[in-house]
Amino acid sequence: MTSNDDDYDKDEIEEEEDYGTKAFDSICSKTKPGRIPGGGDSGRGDRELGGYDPSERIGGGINVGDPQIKVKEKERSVTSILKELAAIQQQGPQKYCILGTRHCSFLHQQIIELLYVV
Amino acid sequence: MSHARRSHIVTPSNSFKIKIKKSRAYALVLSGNHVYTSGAGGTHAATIRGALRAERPDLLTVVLPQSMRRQPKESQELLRDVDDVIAMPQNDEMPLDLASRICNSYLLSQTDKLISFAFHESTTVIEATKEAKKLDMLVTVLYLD
Repeated sequence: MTSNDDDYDKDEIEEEEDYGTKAFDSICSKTKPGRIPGGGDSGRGDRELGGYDPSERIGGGINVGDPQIKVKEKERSVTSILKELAAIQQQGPQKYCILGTRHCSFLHQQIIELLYVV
Repeated sequence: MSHARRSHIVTPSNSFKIKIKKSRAYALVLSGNHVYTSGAGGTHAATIRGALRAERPDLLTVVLPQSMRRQPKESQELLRDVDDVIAMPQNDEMPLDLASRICNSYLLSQTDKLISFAFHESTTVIEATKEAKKLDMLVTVLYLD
């Protein structure tokens, strides 16, 4: 191994060290939870957000439990609208079927009694 | 002070009674809807009492899922005042839930509109509402819970 080779090796090692520190800084700036407290030049804004960088998007597949299912909108067809319109406009006696649970409170029973009267 | 408070309580109840009487008169003169119901306690008993209170027992038909003797005593006493009672003694050997389903299907076949009072756990009643929707009836479900 010659002296030139030694110089080349030293330069190469220094470059690699520089690259390593740059890479370490860049990783630290992206992954804040793993960052050493007080180490490096962290911004105040990052600390206020608990070490989370808002520009960094969290990867997909987040488990948020079982959210409330979106209520399906009622289907509206011309037939159903005409049927409801006919029911509103229809006058005269009609046949009603009244069904219900046996476990009915006294107040509900009074309301049901009034329904027939009205 | 106490007099003012008393008058405040009395007045709305009087107006409420008048409203009920007016609506009853309105019902007797103009409406005349025929009501079909079953003979169990709770909702059905309330419906029967309402029809009898409105002094129109001719517009009430009660369909029993089984024979009269299989009904509870309270229902039997209430049904004495009802003119039109249809019993199904052929279903006496069946379990009550199955007989009720048959009874509900018969009721739906006889009527145009359904009003039902149910809890979300009332499977038989909710089944009847689904059947009514399939029959293109106008269905109103009132949940009590």
